[in-house]
Amino acid sequence: MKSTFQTIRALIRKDMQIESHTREIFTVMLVFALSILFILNFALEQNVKVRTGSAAGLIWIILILAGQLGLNQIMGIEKQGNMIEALLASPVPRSAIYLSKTISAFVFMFLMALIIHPLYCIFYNVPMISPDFILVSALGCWGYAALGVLISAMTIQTRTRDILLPVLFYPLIIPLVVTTVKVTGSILSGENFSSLLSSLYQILAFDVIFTASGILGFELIVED
Amino acid sequence: MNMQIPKKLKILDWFSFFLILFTCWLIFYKTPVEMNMGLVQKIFYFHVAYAWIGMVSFLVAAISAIIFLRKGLFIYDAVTESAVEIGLVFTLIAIITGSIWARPIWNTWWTWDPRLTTTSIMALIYAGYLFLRGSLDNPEKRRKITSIYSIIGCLSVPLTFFSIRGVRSIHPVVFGGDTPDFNMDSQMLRTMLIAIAVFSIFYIAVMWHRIRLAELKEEIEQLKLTSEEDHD
Repeated sequence: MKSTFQTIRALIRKDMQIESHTREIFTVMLVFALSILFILNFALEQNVKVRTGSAAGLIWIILILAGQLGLNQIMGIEKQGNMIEALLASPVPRSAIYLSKTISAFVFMFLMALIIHPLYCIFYNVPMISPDFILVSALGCWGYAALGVLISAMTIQTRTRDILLPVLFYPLIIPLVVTTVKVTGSILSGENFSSLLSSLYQILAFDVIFTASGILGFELIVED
Repeated sequence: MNMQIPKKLKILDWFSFFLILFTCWLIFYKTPVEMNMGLVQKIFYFHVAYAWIGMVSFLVAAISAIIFLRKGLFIYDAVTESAVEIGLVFTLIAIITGSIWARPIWNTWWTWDPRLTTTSIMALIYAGYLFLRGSLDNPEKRRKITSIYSIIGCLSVPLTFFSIRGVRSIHPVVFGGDTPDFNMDSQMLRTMLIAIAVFSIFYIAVMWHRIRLAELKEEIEQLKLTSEEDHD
């Protein structure tokens, strides 16, 4: 058990070191998210009330679109120079590879959420989000990363890898997105946090299902 | 493999053909016209049957995918592939027929009702399955990866319905519902059940044909590989 944790930690450190040298994942995701944030200005109503009403959905659309770039790359870096072959040949449990990739994707996604939310609130004059939002973001981002890494592991093996990821991933992630947007919207409208507990448990259940599917499915997907 | 269509399948084809004709006769001549909706309600006998087959087909796909992952036999992958393709066609027809019914009854072609939304998302998920299948070259990988995807797809459908169920639904509940304007007459209910049974038989015939096609394709692939090896 201890060695699995150490393996996961080592694999995450590897991903973070690659990112710190290349800046091909988080930086790209963030710049892309900011671009959409600015483009939205031309599509949105000037009315603050309308903007506030659609804020939760728009924030998550930005995160989902930008997060997809990260998912493509998080498995893509292993494909470059056939690093995946070396990784699979090493005596590392497949579940450890999956979990390390999921944690890395989660970290990038969660950091981006923490930056994009306040920025959205500042740029679009929407009331600043409460700290409750951090928990919802964390749960939403984990589910996104857990299923995303699994689908990304499938699509990197196809001919049309980058194109196929959103086609396969978006319809599957809808239940998580719907619930997360609902909770975010309720937090924005000042609803009591305790009244949102059932929805939070729902997101947690999605996270558990997606993570379990990932742990079980990843091994079959990557093995030769 | 024998290229000839098996005799049993031929009998099933003709049997389902005559049963469909009989069902159409039953629907249009022997079942009363619904008092409020009029003739357009007749579409429901087809719509419910197609939607049912779509659902069952995706479930069949997921179950055969699980068996394939456990046993690794080609036939189960062929069943998954066939079930997804046929399920997708029936689901799309169900969406279209539902939309044709909705236009005069709800005064709109489309509404974001949980059932409509879930069915459409389900169609998107399984359309993705076909794209995924088409872009994987290695047959072994293709079978494994698409099997896992179809299981996840099947898991995601009830989750989607669960997550959007809070939205008020205007879709009639045909069986066991309490919608006052959709209490079916016993004759209508009988026709509906016959239509579901008949189209299920038709589904079995189509599945049989599609699985045979998958087997023939596999055989051609094997022959190609053998001839390439002989050339080398």
